[in-house]
Amino acid sequence: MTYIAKKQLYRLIFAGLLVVLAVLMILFSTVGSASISFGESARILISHIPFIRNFINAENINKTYESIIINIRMPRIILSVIAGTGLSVVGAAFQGIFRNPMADPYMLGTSSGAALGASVGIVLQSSILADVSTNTLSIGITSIGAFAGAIITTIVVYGIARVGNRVPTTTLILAGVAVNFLTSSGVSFIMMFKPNHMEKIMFWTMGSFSAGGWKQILVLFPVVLIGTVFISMYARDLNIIATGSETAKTLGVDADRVKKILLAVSSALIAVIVSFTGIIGFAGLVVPHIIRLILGPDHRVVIPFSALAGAIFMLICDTVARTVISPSEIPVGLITSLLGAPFFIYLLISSKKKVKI
Amino acid sequence: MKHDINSSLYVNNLDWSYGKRQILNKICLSIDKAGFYSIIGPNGSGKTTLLKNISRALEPRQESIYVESKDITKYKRREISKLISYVPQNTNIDFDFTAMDIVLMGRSPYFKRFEVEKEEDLQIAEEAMKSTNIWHLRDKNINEISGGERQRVIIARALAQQTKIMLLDEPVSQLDIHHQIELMETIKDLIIKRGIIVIAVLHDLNLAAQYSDMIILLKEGRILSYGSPQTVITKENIESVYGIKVFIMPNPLTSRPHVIPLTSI
Repeated sequence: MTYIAKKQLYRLIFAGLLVVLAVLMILFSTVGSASISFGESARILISHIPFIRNFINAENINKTYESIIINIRMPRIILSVIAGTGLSVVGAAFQGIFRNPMADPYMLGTSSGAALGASVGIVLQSSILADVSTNTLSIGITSIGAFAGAIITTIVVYGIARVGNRVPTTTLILAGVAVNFLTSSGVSFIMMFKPNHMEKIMFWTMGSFSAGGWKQILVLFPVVLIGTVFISMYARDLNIIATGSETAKTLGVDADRVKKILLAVSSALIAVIVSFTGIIGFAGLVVPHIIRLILGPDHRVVIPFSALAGAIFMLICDTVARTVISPSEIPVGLITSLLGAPFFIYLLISSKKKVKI
Repeated sequence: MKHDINSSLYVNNLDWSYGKRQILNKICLSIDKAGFYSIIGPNGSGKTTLLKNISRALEPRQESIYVESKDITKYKRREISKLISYVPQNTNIDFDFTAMDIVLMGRSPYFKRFEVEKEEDLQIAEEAMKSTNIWHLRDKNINEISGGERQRVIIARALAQQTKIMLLDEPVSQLDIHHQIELMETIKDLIIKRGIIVIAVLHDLNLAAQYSDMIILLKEGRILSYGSPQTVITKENIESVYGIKVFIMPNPLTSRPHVIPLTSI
């Protein structure tokens, strides 16, 4: 069966998953310490959507519930959906670029660079800016630090790996590993010398959507949307690159150029996501892989379905993270790892004979 | 040989080095007529490098290779891939695509960014797969078929590109003698039916002598001899290039030269 023969089927599954995502978003917005029914939650949400809201009765909505749904739960839900999408799409792109199903969005040192930057930000925020108490600003400094750390690390890794005009993927992976160690030890140093920040730094490196608000969504949504569309544009090129760089050239695809463009876009995308959410592992590795197992290796399928499945996966993980030990919560990165790691191990065992590097 | 810039393929003083090591040295070559052209020569004589330059898998110097009278470096990559197809030595593919998926990739130079395969492309792919006898493998995973079958899939992909020139890098070196002959017959057939130019790197001198219309003999990055099998496969040429004593006799069935290696010099 070829791509076009299955296209109708793909569309159907995609539409189905979209509905699942929408239902889950409403359903999970009812989960929490205040009990709000599915119908009520749906009514509140619809009353905030332009045009459609005219068709329902928006009276007698409980204002407290409305505030909980709209200002607290929904932003967090949307943020997890956006981040899940971005992480999974970049994972799919990286697995295509590196021609390796074990590639993940953080392999170029983006995450550890972000962690280092965030740690510096956390320390700075309390020592130098001790008297500035506004919460928004303190979040800002950590995010800016993380973003700067992520971008600088990625550029350094890229610079190390570059050979003239080309970027051999093996060197890129090795440079990523090396720089990862360097920045990780940097984080450890900071935690050693500033032990009172240790908890905060550790929590940051395990990822969370707890700081999620509409402001973050305003930045993250367009970035992830544009990034995803852009990466999708190169889906067919990624298929051809899977047959080898030199062969790709003879099929009309300038593999080196496509790789560079996708690396740049993906890295920027990951840097932005990480700076808002901390490090959330495994989603970017596991989601594209599951999609490939079920729907085949065609990137024209893998990328859009990873986007959608990533959103659903992250939404579920975050809902677990914020409700299991309510009123406190588990970092979402822990949940994704808890669900993702066993799968990763299964993957390693089952593909031991097949993996090519 | 007539050396003419208006040939389908015209190579003029092509040099190529990897770092400081010079691999190709002033290669001059014109190919215009449909047929089987093989490149022979010992390991490291530059056969694959020459092929990669012509396919632009490597970037040749300007004004050293012309395709259809136009400098190859002046073409867009997509344009070149409609004129020249390439079957590499290493046909490993990383993900589990089906054979049909792989053959359809040959149509990709003809697509715009978001365009998908049309009925016409499916037909071209089907035709290509039938002419290399792999239609029955269309839904098989490319990594679960034999090496010979995979080679045929890649050749079908090259056919789907519908190019005038097809380059093959050691197409039969990993095949047993049955599949070698079968594949060579298939290629020969394609040349007759489609009027294409096939340029193949071959290691087996007797296979080259049997199937080639013309042979290019490389030694240390230079063309030592270029012509019909009878003129290229001679005792002097083979002994000087390969450094072994050989006995050459005409094949009793085809009267083409047949090489019997004796001892190293």
